[in-house]
Formats: sequence, structure tokens, C-alpha cells
Amino acid sequence: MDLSIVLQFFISGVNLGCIYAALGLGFFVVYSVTRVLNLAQGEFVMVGGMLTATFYSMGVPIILSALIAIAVAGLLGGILHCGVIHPARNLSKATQTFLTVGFAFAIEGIALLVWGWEYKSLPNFLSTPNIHFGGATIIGQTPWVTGITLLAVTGLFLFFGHTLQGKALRACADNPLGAKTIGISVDRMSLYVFILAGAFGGIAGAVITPLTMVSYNIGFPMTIKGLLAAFVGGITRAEGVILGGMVLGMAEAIAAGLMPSEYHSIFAMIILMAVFLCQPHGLLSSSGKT
Amino acid sequence: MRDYLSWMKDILAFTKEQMREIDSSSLLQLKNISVAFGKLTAVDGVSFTIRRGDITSIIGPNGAGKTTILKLICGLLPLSQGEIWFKQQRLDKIPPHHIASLGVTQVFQDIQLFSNMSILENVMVGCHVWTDSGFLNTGLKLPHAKAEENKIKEQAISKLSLVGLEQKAFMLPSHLSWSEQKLSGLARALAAEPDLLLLDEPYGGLMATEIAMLSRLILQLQQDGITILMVEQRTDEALEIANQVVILDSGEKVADASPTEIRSNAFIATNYLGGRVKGMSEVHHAASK
Repeated sequence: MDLSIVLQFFISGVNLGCIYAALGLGFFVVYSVTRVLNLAQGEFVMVGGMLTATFYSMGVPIILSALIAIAVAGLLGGILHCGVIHPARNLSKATQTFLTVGFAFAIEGIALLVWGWEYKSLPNFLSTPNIHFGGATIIGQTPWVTGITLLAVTGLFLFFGHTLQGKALRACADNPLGAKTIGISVDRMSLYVFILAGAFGGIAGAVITPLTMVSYNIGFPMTIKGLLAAFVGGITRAEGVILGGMVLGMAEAIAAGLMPSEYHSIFAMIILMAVFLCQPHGLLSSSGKT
Repeated sequence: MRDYLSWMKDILAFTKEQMREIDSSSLLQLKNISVAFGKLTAVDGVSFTIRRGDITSIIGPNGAGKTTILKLICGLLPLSQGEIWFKQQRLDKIPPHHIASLGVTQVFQDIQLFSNMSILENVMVGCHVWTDSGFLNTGLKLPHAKAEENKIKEQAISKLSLVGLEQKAFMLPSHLSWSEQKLSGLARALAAEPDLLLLDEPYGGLMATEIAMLSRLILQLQQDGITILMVEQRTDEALEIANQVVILDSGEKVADASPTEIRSNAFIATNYLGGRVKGMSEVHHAASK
């Protein structure tokens, strides 16, 4: 195989992997603290993308549009917690998970009312041109996707590892009972992680819109991709989710190069099955608790 | 008649004065508290008061409701009946994390350390109650948040030094012995600067030398002004350091007195002390004999 084709697969794979990792990390932060699978995560991506495109079309600079969209997606995460998860806190985690599906449908319905069936797109951030390297083409938005995702992931690691609030979140994830008795409000931490997940979704939405058009109904496929990344890598560890995103991105990039598009989903499913048969709790899950 | 009225007034004034003194010196009051799990009544109409600066030991056989009382004070279980008051504030209506911020922390029997954090981080998280930097401040590492984190780190190290674990600050809990884990749990609870420290079976699983060391540490904490309520199976050690002893059996209070009074009561000494604590049925059997 031509080296330039391998390079092209690699670049596309890293790009997709970053997007899936960002999606998966939204699941990770919520699940680690609340043990709820937030199936509305993809809707935050949709809102992030649609709002960035809308504000941009109104003449707001693209970076500022993205920042506003991320803030609104974070706020939406807070609303999901306050309006759905907190009132249902005494119900089972499975019920709370199903309630997030209801929230996802509600957001999708509102998005349809606001934006209609219309697809929206954006130019590359700061109109970055495509780069040609070693016979492969790097789309101008790719460095933005990779860079912003890396920045967000690094920020997340620094926050969890080096700040007191991050440690308090880890304490809730590790042992909610112990956390409560030393004065940590698990409810408040739960609100924070939903806001964080919303913001992560918003980031993913804003950065992918120049690459792929967004519409009111992209939330569900994004949720599935994020879930796959989280479960392939192991939803209990951030590193696992990033690895899962990368594995999934690479696999999809290779499948896109070698197979007709209708087989892409089958390929992704084969990977998922293979991982679950060999490592039922994901590639990097050490605890075995999923 | 006038003499009688003036005598009554004196009595009432004296009683009021006494009551005021009791109120100001009492830190925690349990008033007729009960809790039931289905048909099983785990705690049944228990009342007692803990004075500021005292060490109170709750002893009794297995299933007497000792640990349940600690959980009720911490807010981890809801009361079926009664009231719990701490520093003139009602505790049984507020969530556990708020109770901790009022100055009540607990060291669990099974410790409940955060397994994925170093010992230092565990103790730093214990300082959470007295931090005032918000989520955004900490996330962005603003100067106030940074200064507060440095202060917290110093505080955590000083608590680890107090329990003799500063050398193991960067180890994970799983790499520590049982007694060291217990001391880490104690350091974490102390990091919150509690007024009332609840200890659930602090001597459980420790060797004689470790028990002696822990007793010295508990007495030192008392001297530092911390009020301690401990639940303990080892009656000799529990009585040794306590100012007040509460005996529970089958969820009911059997006695509430000083260690000297407890030891001098033949019935209690026979049935609840001497290394072996009998259950209520055995006590009834002994009493009928």
C-alpha cells in the first residue's frame, strides 16, 4: 500500500479519534460521579454545532460563536441535572439513564422547531487552509479538532489531578458515602459534572461542524459513537475513553478507505464485539466496575 | 405560704441556672431517638447528652444499635422518631455533607478511604468543608484558589504528622497496613477541623501497642478541644479513656454514667463488662436467677 494512503488513514483516524474521545469523555465525567449513562450527550454536540453556526451566520466571530455555544451546551447540562436527574435522584440509575433519553427527545424536538430540517455548516476556524503533507491532505480544520481536544483533555486531567474541586469529584466517583461524611455535596458535584459534560459536548459540536454538516438529528448517532468510545476503552478511566476514541477513529478511517460506506457501521460493531469478548470491561478498565 | 413560694422560686431559679449550664456545656443531644428497618427496631427511644470536651464511649453487644446511632448523627440514616441537636441546631433535618460542615465528622469502621487517591490527597479532600473557592475559581487556578490549595496542603501534612504518617503521604491506601489506614481515616476526619469526632470501632483489628498509641492520640485530641463519641467492642479500653459511658442493648439504653459508676454497678459489670458483653436475653436470664 502506498505510504501516502497510510498517512492519510492515520491523519483521518487521529482526527476522528479526537472527536470520539471528546464525545466519550462527556460520558465518562457523568458516569464516574453519578453512575448514570447520559444518553443525551449527543444532543449537547448538536446544540454546540448548531449554535456556533447560527451565531456565525449572524455575524459573530467564529471563535466567540463557539465559546457562546459551549457555554449554552454547559448550561443545558445543568438544566438536565436540575430538571431531570436531581428530582429523580432516589430512583434507580437505570431509570435515570432512561430519563436522559426523554430529555434527548425533548432537545431534538425543540431543535427541530427552532432550526427546522436545515443542515448547517461552518468554514474552517480562522479560514485555515488545507495542508498537503507527504502526499496526504490535512483538512484545515483537523489541527483545530486535534488541538482543541488535546487542550480540553489536558485541562480535564489537570483539573481532576491538581485542584481540590477535581479531587472532590474523584472522591465522589470513588466513594460517595465517604465523600458525604467529609462535607462534599454529592448532588452539587453531580451538577458540576453535567455542566462539564455539556461543555465537552459543545466543544465537540463546535469543532466538528466545519468538517461535517450538522442538523437537529445528529444527536443520537453522536451519542452512539461516544458510548462506543467510552465502552471500548473502559468508561471508568479517562485514559481508557481516549484510547477507545482513538481505536474507533482509526478503525473507521481504515474502513472508510477500504470498504464501501454501508459497511462502516458493521466494521465498528465487529470491533466492539471483539473488544467486549476479550476485555468485557473495556481496554483500560482496571476496576472491572462498569 | 410566702416562705413556701419563695422556696419554690429559689428552687426554680436554681433549676433554670443548672439547665442553662447543662445547655451551654452540652454539644450533642439525642432526644428519644428511634429508627426501625421494617419490623426491626434498631434504636428504640434513646436519649443522652454529650458534653463539650468529653470522650463518650458507647458499648454494648453486637446488634445493640451502636453504629446505627453514629449513622443517625451523621445523617446517613433518617430518624423514625426523636430529635438530634448539635450546638443548638437540629441535625436530623439536614443532609450529611452539611452536618460535616457544621463540625461533625466520622471515621468508619471500614475506613472508606478513596482508593484511587494518595493518602495526602485523601486528607486534602477532608479539608473540603472549609474551602470557599468555587468550581470556576479552582478550575481556572485563580490566585485565591491557589493560595487556598497551598494552605490545604499544609493543613493536610500537619494532620498526617499528627498521626505519624507524613512519610507515607504519597502512597495509595492499598499500600498501607490496616492500622495505618485507620490513622489515615482519622487524619482525613481531623482535616475538617471537627468539634465532634465520631469513631466507629477505632480499636478494631489493632494490636495492643497500636491500641495504646491510638488511645494516647485520642486523649491528645480531647486536650486539643475535640469532643469524641466512640463506639467500641473492647470495653476495657473504651472505659479507660472515656468520661462518659453509654450502654446499649437491643436498641435500648441500659446505662449512661461515668466509667467509675459503670464499673461499680455489679449488674452492669457482670453482664456488660469484663471483656465479654452479653446480649439482653442472657442479661434477663442472669437477672431472673
